Amino acid sequence: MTHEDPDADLLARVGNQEPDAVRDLVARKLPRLLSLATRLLGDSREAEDVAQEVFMRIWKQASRWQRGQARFDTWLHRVALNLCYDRLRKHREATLDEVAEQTDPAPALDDALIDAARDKRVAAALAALPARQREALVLQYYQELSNAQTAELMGVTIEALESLLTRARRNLRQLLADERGNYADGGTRP
Amino acid sequence: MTPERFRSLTEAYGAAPEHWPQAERAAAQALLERQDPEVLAALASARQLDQFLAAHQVAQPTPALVSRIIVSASPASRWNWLRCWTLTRRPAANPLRGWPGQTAPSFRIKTFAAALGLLGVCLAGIVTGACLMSLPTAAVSLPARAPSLTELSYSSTAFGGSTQDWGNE
Repeated sequence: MTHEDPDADLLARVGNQEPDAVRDLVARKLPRLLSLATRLLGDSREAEDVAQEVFMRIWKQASRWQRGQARFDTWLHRVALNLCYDRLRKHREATLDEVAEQTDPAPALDDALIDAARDKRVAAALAALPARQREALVLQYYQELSNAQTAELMGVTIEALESLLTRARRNLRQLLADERGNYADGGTRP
Repeated sequence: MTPERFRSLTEAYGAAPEHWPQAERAAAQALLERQDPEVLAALASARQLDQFLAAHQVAQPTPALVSRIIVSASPASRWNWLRCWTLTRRPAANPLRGWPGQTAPSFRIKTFAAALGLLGVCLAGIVTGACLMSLPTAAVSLPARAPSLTELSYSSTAFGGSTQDWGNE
């Protein structure tokens, strides 16, 4: 990467073991990291474990980080993705079962419940996507990475990424078809 | 840009222009301004799915998680298992206070002091045990006249000295 890495200075300070820099980096990166892991794993506890593991690696690498060789945020996402997929490989069935159990079809009584039910349904639909499609959607939509960054992280071309995203959204649309009919215009269940 | 390409774009990237490829963004927005019904329908469909995706909220990191991660940045916590053990059992309100200038060294000092104390207790136990072992013997073999300091030699230890005294009896 030839562009200036916005995290480079902060990372250098972390490498010098400055407590303020450590706190700043955690504040800057942890929420997005946790979101990524939670959406990919569908399990908040496992997501926390992944976040901790990623930060342990940051602490170990910070003093050796070389500016200009890679963008820190991309490296961070790559480490997190690898850890998530390690866990998904080990616990795939258990994780999917757990998410499936969260799809409670109980009738919603008010807006808060509707929102909560919708949240769970989206989470379940995301979990039901093929892994590569979910990865593409989470990185591009939720993590708001550029298409180039997402494609680089996933090791695919922009065209292949676009194809993955199209299939991901099409599958989601199908999975959420019932919800669209009931909630899309702010309506409630009959 | 054709309406077909616009539909493909929104089907892949959603309704938000900032998610569209930068190279095609201007052309797509120009097409939108023409108010083509097909284009508007594609945009509305993509926006609907975006709204559902946006409904999926992820909890913010808990203070406990933030604390654990900040503590893990301390160099000592990465090599000293004892430190990790200690910290996980008494999480401080401000775990980074003084790190790395104070927390890690003070912890090492405390650990060293504790180890030193333990060693002292052990040594004291050994010395006390040795003294207690020697007391009955010394009581039995106590000479009528205790040797003066000038008479003390290697042979006048608790064992060596008493042998000579027995011979005199």
